[in-house]
Amino acid sequence: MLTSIFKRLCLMALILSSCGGPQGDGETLAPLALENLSLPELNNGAGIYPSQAVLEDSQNPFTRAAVSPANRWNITGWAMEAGAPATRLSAMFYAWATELAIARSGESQFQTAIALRTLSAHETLSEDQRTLYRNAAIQAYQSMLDNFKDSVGYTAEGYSYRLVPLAFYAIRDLGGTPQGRWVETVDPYGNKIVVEI
Amino acid sequence: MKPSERGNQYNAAAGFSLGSGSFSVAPQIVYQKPLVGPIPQDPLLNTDQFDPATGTYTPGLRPRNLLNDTFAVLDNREMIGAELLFVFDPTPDNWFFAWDNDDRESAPLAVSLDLVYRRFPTRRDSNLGVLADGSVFAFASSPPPANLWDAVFRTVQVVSPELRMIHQVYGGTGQANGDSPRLIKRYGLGSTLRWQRLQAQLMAKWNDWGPYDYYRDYNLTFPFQGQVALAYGLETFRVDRYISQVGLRYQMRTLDENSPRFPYAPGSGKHGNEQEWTSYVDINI
Repeated sequence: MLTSIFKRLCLMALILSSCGGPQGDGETLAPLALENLSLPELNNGAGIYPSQAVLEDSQNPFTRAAVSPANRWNITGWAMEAGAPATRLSAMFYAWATELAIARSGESQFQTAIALRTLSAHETLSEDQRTLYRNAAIQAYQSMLDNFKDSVGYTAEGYSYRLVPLAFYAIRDLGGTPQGRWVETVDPYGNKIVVEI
Repeated sequence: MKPSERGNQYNAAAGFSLGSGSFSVAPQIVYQKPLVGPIPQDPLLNTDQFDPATGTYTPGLRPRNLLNDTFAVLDNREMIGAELLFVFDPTPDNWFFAWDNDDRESAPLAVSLDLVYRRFPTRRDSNLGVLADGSVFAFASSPPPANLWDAVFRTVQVVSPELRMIHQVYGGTGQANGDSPRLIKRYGLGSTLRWQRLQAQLMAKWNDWGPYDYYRDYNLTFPFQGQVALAYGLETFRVDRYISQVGLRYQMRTLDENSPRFPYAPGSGKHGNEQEWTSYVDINI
């Protein structure tokens, strides 16, 4: 009797476990055509920390598929090719913004900002669209100054560099004004640096 | 060594304890296996693919985790384990493995040697990590199958009522809690000497994780960690209470490419180091 109950419980556990999770989820493994993505609508601050809106975005192809670091960079290189269509930048935006929403990091915020900035300069977009992405890029770079002050990027040789100065100058290049207590000054060697006072 | 207490598994454990005079020996074996196994390790299935020529991205099959699947396989991972424990303790009035045995042990010399071997023929699913801001995430993958061993040798010497020495030497292999596949081989020793109101401590570790849990989560190790401490208390030191004391402590560690804050380029072969002198007065009211 007990053996029978145990067997039934085990069977129930097996059935329940097979109801959810990636094993039975064909959608997770289905190939995604990134070239056909729509441009991001940027509702509710999507792509700008701490917004999680990108995870609710029905156009986001990566909500159920965590992109590996190597392929995030592959998609970035593919999207930034000269003359590439704007939809590729959409894929780059979603790849980094999803990573930012799941596991916050300055690098993800910075690459999200680069995708938005490149979209804002894409000649195939309308003036309204370019303005939308320019404003979002400024907000994304400002998020670097507000939330990721110590973040660094790495060269291919493994040396690190600070991302905040790059965000500071990017905001200026886009016609914005960096907010907060960030100022540009000169170090004892005469180099321009960005510091928070 | 105990079987996991997580669900989604069956297990069997067998062992016994044999005592003769001051000697005891306690062998044990444990077998456990999940009812629903982890996502298998498969280079093709686990790795996402991106084809720049067509712009097609094919997601990889990721390990489950406790955020998305109750049946994620973690410490209920399939395991065949064996333990052999030797103890020499001539005073039966206190248990050698009591949590406060450092204070309670009364034998002139008590010794234990614990040997553990674990065979993990499969990987597990994904553990959860916590970022500096408190947000929780699941690691992207998990360490591969491995065979792990641990050995811990501990002695307690009560030379006189006022002089007590506790020593521990350990070694073994270990896997990260996160997704790093690097298997570490770690060794170390620690000694505590208490004489009247004085306590001296020595610790040395090689290739081991740092002191906090996130070091193991992210597989952050140091080639060497050392600490020397000397303290004088207003009463005798005990493990179960804070006492007012004054002390000095020196600690240092060397850094390589597997350590946080490594100041050189990875692969440069250089070692960094961090050192700290601390003098302190603890007042316990």
